[in-house]
Amino acid sequence: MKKLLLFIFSIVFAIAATGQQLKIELEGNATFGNSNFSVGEAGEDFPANIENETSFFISVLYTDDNLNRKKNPNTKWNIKVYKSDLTWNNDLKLEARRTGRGQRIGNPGNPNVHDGDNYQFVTNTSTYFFRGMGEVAYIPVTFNLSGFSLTMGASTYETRVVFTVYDDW
Amino acid sequence: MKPAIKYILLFLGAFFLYMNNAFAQWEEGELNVSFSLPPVALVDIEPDANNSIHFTVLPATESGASPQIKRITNQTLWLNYSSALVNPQNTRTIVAEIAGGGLPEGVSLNVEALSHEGMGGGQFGQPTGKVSLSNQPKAIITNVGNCFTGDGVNNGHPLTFSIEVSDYSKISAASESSFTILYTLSDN
Repeated sequence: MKKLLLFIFSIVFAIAATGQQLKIELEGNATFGNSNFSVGEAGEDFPANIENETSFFISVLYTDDNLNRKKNPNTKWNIKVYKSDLTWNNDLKLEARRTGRGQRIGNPGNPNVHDGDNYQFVTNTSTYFFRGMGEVAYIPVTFNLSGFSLTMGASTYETRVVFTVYDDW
Repeated sequence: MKPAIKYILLFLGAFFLYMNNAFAQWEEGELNVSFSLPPVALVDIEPDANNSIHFTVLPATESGASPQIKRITNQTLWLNYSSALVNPQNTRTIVAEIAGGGLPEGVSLNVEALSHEGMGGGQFGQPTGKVSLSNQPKAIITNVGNCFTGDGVNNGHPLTFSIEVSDYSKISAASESSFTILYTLSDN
């Protein structure tokens, strides 16, 4: 019986030890500069929408590079996204889309990345964004902001966008 | 295979499946997105080009009658504005004044902004009624909040102008007299 318990414990430990295989790294930021919120003519509102001026990238990497690259170079993963509002207005709409496939690490082939290339709303509920295989770095993502208006007055808004990588499709 | 071992193996199979799900990998990355809507205060008159108005004062047709005042041009001018305030409790006022040139003596010029028409949204201003213009700014619209009136003719506040002889003793024959009306959208 002791041997059996030891066996079960070993298996559980082994499964747990394989945890944290994937990590997500974000680089850059999503800035919507003041100059974008300009009114061309008296009587007009702000422009209907603007895209972020700066570049933003998502990288999906292995936590244990050498071990996982050799053992499982094509781990499947998917990314979900949601936002958590700090100062926000319900009329404001934030959308995100993937504008490229990034770079495969340790493999010259094309990155295997799918979906997310059309704008989708970033809501307060975690929603599937895109998926891929293996380690892929610098996947470019662009944000689009709409719903803002002069009727909101001169004010500052802030939300936290959270990307989560899961190791499945 | 003994039944006990069979059950243990089944249990282990189910347990491993459960554990595999329980240890599904995930990790989060966060990005702060922030932006500021700037304060805005813009006002103009539409149509943009050729928005002059012309009046002519003709002598009375009969002795004892008052001079005839006719407006030569017939187009309506529209006041457009865009406004975004830092403090939503505050409001703005649109004032008008004669900024260039001057009225002939004995004549007064009145302007009246009517209620908002056309497109736009937000808290539009409230017209103050007929105002006699001078070289001192006078409010023609008050209580302008965060809003935009729509751009171009048929949007915003139509303006009506009228000239009155305010003092007959000062009326004299004069050549053409021109002046400019300045509109300003300012914080209260």
